Amino acid sequence: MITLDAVVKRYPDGHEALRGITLDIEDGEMVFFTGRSGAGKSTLLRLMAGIDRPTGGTLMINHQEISRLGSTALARLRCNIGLVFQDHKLLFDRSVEENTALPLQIVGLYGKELQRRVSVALEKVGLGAQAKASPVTLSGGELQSLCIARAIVNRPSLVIADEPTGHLDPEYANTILDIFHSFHRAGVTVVIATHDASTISPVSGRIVQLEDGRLGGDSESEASEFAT
Amino acid sequence: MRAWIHQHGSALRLALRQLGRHPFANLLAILVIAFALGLPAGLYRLVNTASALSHNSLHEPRLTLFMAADADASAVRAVWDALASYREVREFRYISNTDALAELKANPALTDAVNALNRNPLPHTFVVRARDPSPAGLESLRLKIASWNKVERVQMDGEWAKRLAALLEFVRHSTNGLAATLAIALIFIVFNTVRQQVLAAREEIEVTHLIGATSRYIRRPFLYFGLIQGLLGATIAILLLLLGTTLFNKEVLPLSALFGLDLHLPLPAVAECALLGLVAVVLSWGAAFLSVFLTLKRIR
Repeated sequence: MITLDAVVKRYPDGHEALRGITLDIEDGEMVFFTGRSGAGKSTLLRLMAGIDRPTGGTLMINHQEISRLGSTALARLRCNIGLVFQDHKLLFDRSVEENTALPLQIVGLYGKELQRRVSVALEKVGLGAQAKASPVTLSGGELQSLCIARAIVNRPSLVIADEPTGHLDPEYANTILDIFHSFHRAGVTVVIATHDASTISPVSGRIVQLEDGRLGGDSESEASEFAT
Repeated sequence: MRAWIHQHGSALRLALRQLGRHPFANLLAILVIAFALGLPAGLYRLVNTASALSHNSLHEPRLTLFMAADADASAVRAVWDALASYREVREFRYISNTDALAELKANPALTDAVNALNRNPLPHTFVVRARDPSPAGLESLRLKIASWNKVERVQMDGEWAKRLAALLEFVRHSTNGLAATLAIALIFIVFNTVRQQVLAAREEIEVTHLIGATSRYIRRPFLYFGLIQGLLGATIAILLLLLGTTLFNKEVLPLSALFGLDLHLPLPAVAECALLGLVAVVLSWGAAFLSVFLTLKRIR
């Protein structure tokens, strides 16, 4: 599904956030990118989400090379990816259900089908009762749940989450991770970046360590080395 | 197709909602647009009416042809026939020297003086109206007629025509300049209000962009916003034209009748209103597009 071959991301100020990342993520995998702040996790996720383009190497998503896509094609690609942001990126002048409906409106869905999908997504994350509420009234964990509802409402095959448990207490962080696990079990590819390794365990999924823009470790390759 | 229509409907609703958020500021902008459209349109209508008037009943230019004193009936007949067959002459009127003298005698103040004359000093005269009443057309006709046999003098009553034409031309050019200036003002107003809308919706634009909105999707509500402003401005401009025309006719018609003039200004035709609407649409949509394009580019 996602193939990175010597991917480099260099910003205009010369800072190199990613230095030759080579990696494959298969359909239905659950992958955690870990590492300290500034290791390149968010940059990598932004590339995988089609928000930014790599400055070197090749990044393929669903057999499409990101660098070759125009802005409209990139936008269409993002429609099929569920994105969860640490700072939520919600619209606070709209209700919970209006925020959730945004990705569907962008692809031109409307009417009863839109309402049905919004209700299903909000039920999945436990916000069904607060559909008409304003996001201002929600707690930090509920805001993150709303962000997840918006990410999955369009039934994406790939969900990318950047520090989804970053500001949450351990109990709510586990709830959020459980939601992601349920998507994974349903066959959705889930990619999560987190600096908090304590929230994940090897049984949770594949763990990829990033260190200063380079791959520092990959639980999948380590497991295969151990097997041989 | 239904999804496409629904997306446009949503963008339109969003634009109307944006318009309603700051009703006073938007109303002011729409009024300025209305004046920017209505003022030159009104001036053009006035100039066109004045031009038509100058070419028609009021001061239609004409030539006065004076025959030589020794011109006999056959010479007069020859000129008559020549004028009748001349394509450039629209119509003419003959005044014999006998009729002219009788007319003078009819004036009690001149009767004694005319009776004292031992012969008729007046020439046979033709008053000629040209098919082309422009100063150039009249001058051309004057030069041709002046070369005919037994034609003493051809007087062009055209100085006033030149002045009026020059004045109308000046007013027309001034109106063109005013229209261009006001069109730029309209573009600036729409550009600026749309820019403010884009900047106010910066967060929303960022979010929708991140979750997959195309540039076209993001631009759409702002384009509708500019378009609605332009169309509302054009509607008010048309209403102002109707009101202005009615008031003009009410106030000026009785006054012009005293001078024997018909200064009636017709109400704006459907085609004129449609043209005004089209101009508003093109200018406001273009300004909105430019504004959204440049502002989004800057934001990103």
